[in-house]
Amino acid sequence: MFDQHLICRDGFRNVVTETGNTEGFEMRIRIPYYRGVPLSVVDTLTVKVAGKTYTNPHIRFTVAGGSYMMSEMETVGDRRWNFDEAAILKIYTPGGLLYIDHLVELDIAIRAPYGIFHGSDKKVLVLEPDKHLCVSSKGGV
Amino acid sequence: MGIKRGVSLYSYQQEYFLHQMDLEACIKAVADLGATGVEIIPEQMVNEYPRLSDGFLEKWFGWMKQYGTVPTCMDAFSESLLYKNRVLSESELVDLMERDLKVAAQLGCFVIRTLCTTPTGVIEKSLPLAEKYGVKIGLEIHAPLDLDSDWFKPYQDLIDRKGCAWFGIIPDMGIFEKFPSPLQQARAVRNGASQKVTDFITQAYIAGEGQDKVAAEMAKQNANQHDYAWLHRAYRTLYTSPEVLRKHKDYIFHVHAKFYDVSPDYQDECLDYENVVRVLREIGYDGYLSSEYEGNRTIEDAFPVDSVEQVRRQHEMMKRLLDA
Repeated sequence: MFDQHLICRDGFRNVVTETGNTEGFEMRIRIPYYRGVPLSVVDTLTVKVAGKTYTNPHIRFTVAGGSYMMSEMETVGDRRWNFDEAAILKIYTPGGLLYIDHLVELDIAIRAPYGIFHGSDKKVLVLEPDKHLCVSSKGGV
Repeated sequence: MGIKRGVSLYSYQQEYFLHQMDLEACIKAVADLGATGVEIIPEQMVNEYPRLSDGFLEKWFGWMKQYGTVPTCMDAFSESLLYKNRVLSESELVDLMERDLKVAAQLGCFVIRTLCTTPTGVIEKSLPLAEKYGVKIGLEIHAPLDLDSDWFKPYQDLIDRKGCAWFGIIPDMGIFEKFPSPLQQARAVRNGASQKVTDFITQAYIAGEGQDKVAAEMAKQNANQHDYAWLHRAYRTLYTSPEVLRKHKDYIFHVHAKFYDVSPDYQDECLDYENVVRVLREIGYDGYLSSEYEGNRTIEDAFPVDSVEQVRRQHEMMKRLLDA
């Protein structure tokens, strides 16, 4: 559900480390379900952009409740992704994306107690100015 | 006493999701209907869940007082698939039940809705906790699971053995569905099903044709996956006779007044409100009819959602039935 709202139009940008390397890009997404959930039930993420497909091992998931690689998040049962909250996905791909508009496709599966809730969305997004990680930024956000 | 009207704030989820209404606006919308009962899914609208602060609770009860409303039911989810590699054990699920009973007590709710997937063992072990927190546990009776079925027998057995002071049922109006929702059929067509094939399925269902026979016929019509999705949805339609409620009358804690669409002239063509309200009145039910507008999910792909108007129409319909 909420398919057309899953990919946020803002917050799509390359991420540059303190040492000047572009380590990947970020995007913001909403939840495809009618309530917030413990982070551990965010089961599967798939992002397709510029001819490449990225899945859980390449994705860091960040909400107010915490920031985790998807593989770490499988055990995070006591922090939540809220219903009204956008999550930031950081997709690790050295060099990031070219500075053109991109068709971005998202698939997401949430493990509810009575089955999987799927969501999918695709949108053409405009790359915003780079996000520069400064020395003080913690947690790899 | 009589039957009271309430709203599950679930009904306003589309507007909440899109940041067009906040929690206070949802509560005000209930009061604007002349309804009193506020049902809530904390996981939807209370970001502090499950650790509610005094500051939040002060605001919550302040709104209840200001708008003349009362908390009713809290919808809980026993998160049995919390972890990817295993199902939670019975004792872990009892811990989650205790957590939710405690939150419900803090919110002033008299009952929690537990999902129809909750094992009886979990409920039985939670009964002393329900008593401790003063909050009842209501099993949601939700289509396609039927009150008159093998699924319900162990729950009935639990009630027979332990009484119904702390455990009972919350029937969802979806079990009184006269025919498959036209709104949902239209969505199936927008998803990629064919109008012709879905009409054929709906008519076959109404005519009482077997699902296998319809599936065989569909194969000849080159039906696609969306047509088959409609076949499964249409054949999940459940019409329980409202008369069934009579024998469960002592432990109907709450009623989910679920609906998909109420017309501008206050008719729900799909769900049998007329007979359910009649039977509930006859058996002396004095709890809430708590609106659960679910059409939002079905139309949001193509149409603007106006939950406030839909719930208003439904309450007008319920008022007429209750005053009749």
